[in-house]
Amino acid sequence: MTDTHSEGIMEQSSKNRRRIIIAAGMTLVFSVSLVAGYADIMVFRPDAERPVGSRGIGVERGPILDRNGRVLALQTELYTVSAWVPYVRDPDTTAVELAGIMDRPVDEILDLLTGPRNFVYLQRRVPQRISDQITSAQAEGRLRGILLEPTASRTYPHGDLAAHVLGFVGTENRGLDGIEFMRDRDLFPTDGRPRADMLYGNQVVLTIDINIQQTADRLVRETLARERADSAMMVVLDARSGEVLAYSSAPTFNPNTYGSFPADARRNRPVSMIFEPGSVFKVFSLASALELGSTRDGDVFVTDGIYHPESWGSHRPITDIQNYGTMDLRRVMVRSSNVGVAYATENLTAQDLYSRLVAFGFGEPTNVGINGEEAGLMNPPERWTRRSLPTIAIGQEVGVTAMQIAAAATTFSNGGVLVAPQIVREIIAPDGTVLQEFERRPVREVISPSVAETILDYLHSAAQPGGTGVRAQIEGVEIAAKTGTAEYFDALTGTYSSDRFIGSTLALFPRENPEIIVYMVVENPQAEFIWGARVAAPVVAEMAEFLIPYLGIQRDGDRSVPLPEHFARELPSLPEMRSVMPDLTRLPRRVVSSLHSRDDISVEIEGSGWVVRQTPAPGTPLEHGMTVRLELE
Amino acid sequence: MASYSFSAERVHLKRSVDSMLLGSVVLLTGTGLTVLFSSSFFRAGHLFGDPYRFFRTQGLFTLLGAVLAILPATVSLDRMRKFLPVMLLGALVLMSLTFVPGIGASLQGARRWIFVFGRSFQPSELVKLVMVIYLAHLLSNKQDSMDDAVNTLLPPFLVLALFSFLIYVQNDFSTAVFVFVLGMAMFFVAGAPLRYFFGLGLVSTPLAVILLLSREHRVRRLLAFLDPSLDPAGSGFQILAAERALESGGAWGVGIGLGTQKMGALPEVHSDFVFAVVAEELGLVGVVAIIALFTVFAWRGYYIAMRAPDTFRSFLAFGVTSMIVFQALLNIAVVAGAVPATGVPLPFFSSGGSSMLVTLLACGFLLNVSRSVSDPEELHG
Repeated sequence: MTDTHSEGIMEQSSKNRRRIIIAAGMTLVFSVSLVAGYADIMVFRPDAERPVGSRGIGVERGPILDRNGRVLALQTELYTVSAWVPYVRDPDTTAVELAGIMDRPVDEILDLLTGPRNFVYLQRRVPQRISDQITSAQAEGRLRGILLEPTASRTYPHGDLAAHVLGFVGTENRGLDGIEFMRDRDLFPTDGRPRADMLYGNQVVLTIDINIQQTADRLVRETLARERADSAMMVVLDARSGEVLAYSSAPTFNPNTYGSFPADARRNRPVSMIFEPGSVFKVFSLASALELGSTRDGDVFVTDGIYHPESWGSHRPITDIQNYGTMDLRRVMVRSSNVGVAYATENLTAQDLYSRLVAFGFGEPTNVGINGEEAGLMNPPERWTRRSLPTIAIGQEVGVTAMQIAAAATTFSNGGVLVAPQIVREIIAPDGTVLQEFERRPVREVISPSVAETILDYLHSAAQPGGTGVRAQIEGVEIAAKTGTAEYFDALTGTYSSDRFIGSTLALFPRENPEIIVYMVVENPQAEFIWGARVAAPVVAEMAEFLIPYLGIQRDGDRSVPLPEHFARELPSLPEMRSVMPDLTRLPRRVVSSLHSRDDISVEIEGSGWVVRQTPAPGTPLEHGMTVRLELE
Repeated sequence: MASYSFSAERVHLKRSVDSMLLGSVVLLTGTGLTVLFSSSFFRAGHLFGDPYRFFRTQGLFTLLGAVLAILPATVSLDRMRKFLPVMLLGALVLMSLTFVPGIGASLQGARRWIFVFGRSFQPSELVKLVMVIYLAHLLSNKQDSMDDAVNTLLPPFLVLALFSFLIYVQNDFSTAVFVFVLGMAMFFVAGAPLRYFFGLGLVSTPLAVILLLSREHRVRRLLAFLDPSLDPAGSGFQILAAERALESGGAWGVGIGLGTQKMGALPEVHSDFVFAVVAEELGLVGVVAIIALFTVFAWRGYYIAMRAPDTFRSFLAFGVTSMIVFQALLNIAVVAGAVPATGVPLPFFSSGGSSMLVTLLACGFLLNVSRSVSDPEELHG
């Protein structure tokens, strides 16, 4: 009886055993796949696939410096304040105390502490001072459940200065935009895993000059407000080397708090906004026409305000705003005559003009080194209509970026050779070794030196009374300038807007051997004027008024002192002027003249040479609105 | 039937415990305490000014559990079966107490604790063990009628469903599902016909989905699992922080006590996410070693289940082994981001007195069964 019974159980048991083996087998398969999963994440995942910031601890991201070594971005140790809500004893008193320490509304903190989440961030990027207060409160038994986490943090000491150049860094210490993004590999040390040792990133030295940038930023901001424009931008280049001295765009943002700005403010317009340049483009089309021989200096055109060959049929005619009558080529440029340009380019073939404009760099990115750069729109000749050639020659049917225009202008200041714009000057290792130096990059000879000279000469005339660029004129220095106004082309609908315009002005100065290129663009100005000659040219003049003394460009027709290749680095630097007046004596005019860009003090500089006397005396506390007088000999 | 149990009793009395099983339990407990100390000293010091706080509590519970485990390790299992109704009722009472004001406590939005002598206890932990014993008992009694859905399968199924539901009401969805799935595994091993599992799957999956989506925090956890970067500061935070800990661990780890993610970056690091500290500090080597320890434990546990002299001991051994191993695998999978975040602790490792006590009690039962196992030679010879 026992036998039969246990036999029955044995039978049942073998089924049970089979099922135990199945369950055990599944368990084994699961654990093996878990080990594989861990190995994949922990060992085999290539670095690139790791989420940003996985190596963000024990690492110091290198600083970004301006061309004179002034710090534009640096890493600081800040703290993240968070709360593990279940451990917070009394949300009300905690919120009140934290609100006091962090200077934030009590309600805001209380909402977080009583919300549905257990783990909440109360505030990121809190300085040492605040973290110390929280720590000492906790030492006294208060603020339970509040956590402080040291976080490597990026700080931009100048706030929104050069924001679009610098970009910003995510919470994981990796660059997300601008130079921070483009040079992330240099700035963020990539060799080795972070251990107890710190790893230091390389320093990136920009071509930007902090003082020029400050002025450009201010001018662009003021223009945006004054003209009630959608956007405004300015690019300042060293005309010889192609180095970007200032790169400014408004609306702008503060990279310290980039998250609180709309995407539109962070948009990097000077390299990404494509627009029709309008008459500014005549500079490049007439240069092409001169180079290709379809017109010559001194050619005379008889115009009646309308250009409409019979072969065009139903195409709209090209017109001038008034009948300029008989003009030579110089007057065509000075008056910015569409009809004149149409005649001057009449004998060109589409292919020739196209190749020449491409040689100027249109239709391809300048590779200046900022992310999101656009190539612009330059249709190949196959897609041109009969009207396209003169239309493009007057700056329509073609899309450019501000950087392209500024870069193309280097052709005129380099004897017909296009020089690539650059924004990074050097990469320097933490120990000071120069790892990489970016030399002047001539791209190609686009036009002959004599054509370049002729165009500069025309542009100088255009900045004289009677020319469209007269408002860019400045006293004592000859300037070459061309303005442009274009209807806003809506790429979405493929139509021109009749009430939105883009006004711009391109300037090179001094006319002989230009040192500086300035290009200013105003999008959709809605104040009194829409014309580039009105909205942009005066701003260019203001910029020039700053640059001429700042760079030591000689006024009054003296032969200008060429800009030394490393003009600024050899200069002594201006001492910090924060709370007290520093000793400025023995500093050259070039250095102290940068004080003009400060808007908290006014500066009077007398004489030239070096500072011999100053008021107030060194050590005097600085006050807002104070006047600083410097005498030079 | 009676004569059979008598003979089993006789067999197990002359055997000693499975030494490999005991060894793996001791090693797991020791490693668990060490890792817990490493993972919690920063937060404990930060929150309570006492870095040893979690470690000391856990140590006390470990000692208590080890002493208490002597009872299930030595008790006559057949005699114990008579007290099952009492145990079941006791579990039910404890579960109900969580809803009684003054005794029950609601922490972090879940009502799963009761307070006794100033200590909190989580009855749902105990329910896991009681359910295992209960199902082992009932299913082994009815081995000859496993096809009978109404008389054999339905009653234990309803009890299992009731307890799972009670745990669900405590706002502990994952433990409820865990207890239910563990029970299902026991039904499976006990030989319930496979067609019922398919049928149940069809019915329970939509139900589970509805229950899952009925609370905002669960939905958020699920979304965070699907894409942690959607809400890196909120629900996805633990997952991303755990991933960072894993990556910074690499093959060899940063060294015990030297991990940085536990310092505030990883909430709940000493409880549900303690394995992330293992990964960061001990590296892949440590991860493999600990998974290997659990595998040894599982191997011995299932071996004992297969070699047990009767079906009750077999099911009991299978149940307690699975209870610990399933929890471990689930928890380890959560830390790797392979499954959505749950509240399932890592046995032997996660901070939590109830879990530690119940784990050690379960090991006591397993050791008890191991004493009744005959060597294969003897069995066949």
